[in-house]
Amino acid sequence: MIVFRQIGAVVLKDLLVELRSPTRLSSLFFYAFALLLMVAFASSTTDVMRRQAGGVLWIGLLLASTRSFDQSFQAEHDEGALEGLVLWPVRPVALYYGKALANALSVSVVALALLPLLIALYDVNMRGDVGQLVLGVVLGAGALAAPGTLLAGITSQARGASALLPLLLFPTVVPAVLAASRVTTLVMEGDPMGQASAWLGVVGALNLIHWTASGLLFRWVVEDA
Amino acid sequence: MSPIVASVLIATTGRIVGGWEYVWGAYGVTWVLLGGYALSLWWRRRAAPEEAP
Amino acid sequence: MKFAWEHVVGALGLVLFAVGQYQGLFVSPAEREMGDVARILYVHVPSAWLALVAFTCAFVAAAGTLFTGRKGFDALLEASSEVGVASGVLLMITGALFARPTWGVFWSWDARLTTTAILVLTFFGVVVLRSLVPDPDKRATWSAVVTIFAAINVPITYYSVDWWRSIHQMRSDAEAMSGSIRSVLMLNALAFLLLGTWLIAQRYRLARAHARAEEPLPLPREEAAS
Repeated sequence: MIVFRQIGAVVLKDLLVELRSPTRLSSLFFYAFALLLMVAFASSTTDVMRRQAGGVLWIGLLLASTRSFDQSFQAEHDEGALEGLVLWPVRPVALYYGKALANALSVSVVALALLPLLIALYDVNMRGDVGQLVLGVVLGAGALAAPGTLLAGITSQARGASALLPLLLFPTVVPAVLAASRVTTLVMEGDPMGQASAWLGVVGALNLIHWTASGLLFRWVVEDA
Repeated sequence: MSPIVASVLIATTGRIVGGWEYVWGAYGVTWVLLGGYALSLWWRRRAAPEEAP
Repeated sequence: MKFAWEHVVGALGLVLFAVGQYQGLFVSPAEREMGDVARILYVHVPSAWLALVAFTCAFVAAAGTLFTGRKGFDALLEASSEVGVASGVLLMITGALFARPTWGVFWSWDARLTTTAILVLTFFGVVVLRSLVPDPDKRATWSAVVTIFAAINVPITYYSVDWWRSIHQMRSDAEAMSGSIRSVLMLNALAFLLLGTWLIAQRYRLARAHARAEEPLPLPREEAAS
């Protein structure tokens, strides 16, 4: 189907732009990493740090990815390309899913790169299932990217509204951040009561809801762009 | 009222005694907020452009 | 000037409000367990209902904007989101003032409180967003999209947080109410809703006035005729 090809094309375009000058990916990484470091400095004991590790990861990813989502539309706006993309027969749905997938991929890659650093710096005794950890990270990234891309589509078009994205995004992703950090923390602690898979289910459900809803709503974000 | 007296009163009568400062605080905030918002609406409507009939 | 029906509603609401507040403060007896502090419920619960009504109004208006595009819905969204934020803030402050003497803490992260805080925050975001978008059509569409988003978010936030908190021990907050307390509460609730209707109606008119001022001027007659 044409739509899937269009989605693929948009994902490829965004990834190629990123690979040519990986400023977005690297600043996403370093912003989140800086936050990890700072919370470590602010923590009183190693035990406190260890227990907070999962949550801190997601706070860092959330803050860093907010800027990244906004920037993902920057390329389009700088050259007036958004209008061009919408006029040329790329359906808004394809544009949305393409961008959101590229964003989810970026956040996942950064998160996976941060994990070993987090485990090392926060003295985490990694006892749980690594597969669950990775799955939780990837799903969490998706649950951030889906609403983030939709809302960034709005704020990037409104002049001066980039600062608004955190205010709009954070309330929306509270369930996602909550569930994803639960998974991460539980797995890192060894998950004695086997709750991690339940929370994984929550993140999965959130992905389902957000990817569907945002895909449906996006056409209103770019009409008469 | 000191915490000790309050605890004794709760233990003997089975209910929280006093707390009027919280009550007045809550009612006061209600009046100020609702009244203030209504006032702001009135100001803004005065400053608003003429409305068509 | 056209007859503004909301002034009748507002006047009635004001009268009921005065009576209800007086009753709540001085006439109604102190509650069995919570004592005089329970009087806060006469402002806390009605503001919660008003916030609920305002936010529901906003959701309906948002759907109306997206599916019909009529300007009236946008003005209603503007009005009800602002009134919703105001009553939401009131709800949270009075709630904190009630919680402190009764449960010892100003705030707890249970599902209801967390979802409420998030909802108020979201609508505050809608109000700010509207102030940043000069184009009326985009403003209407985008704030409607964000509002719909918020609507979807309410149940999933509630259930996620509820589940999270159920793992930790949470105090129950069942409140049995006697008859006389219930009637004073209903009186205040009605007063709040009437006043709230007046506020939304007034804000709605303001929104429409602004929208009309934004419309482009009509073409001069000669140009249109030629």
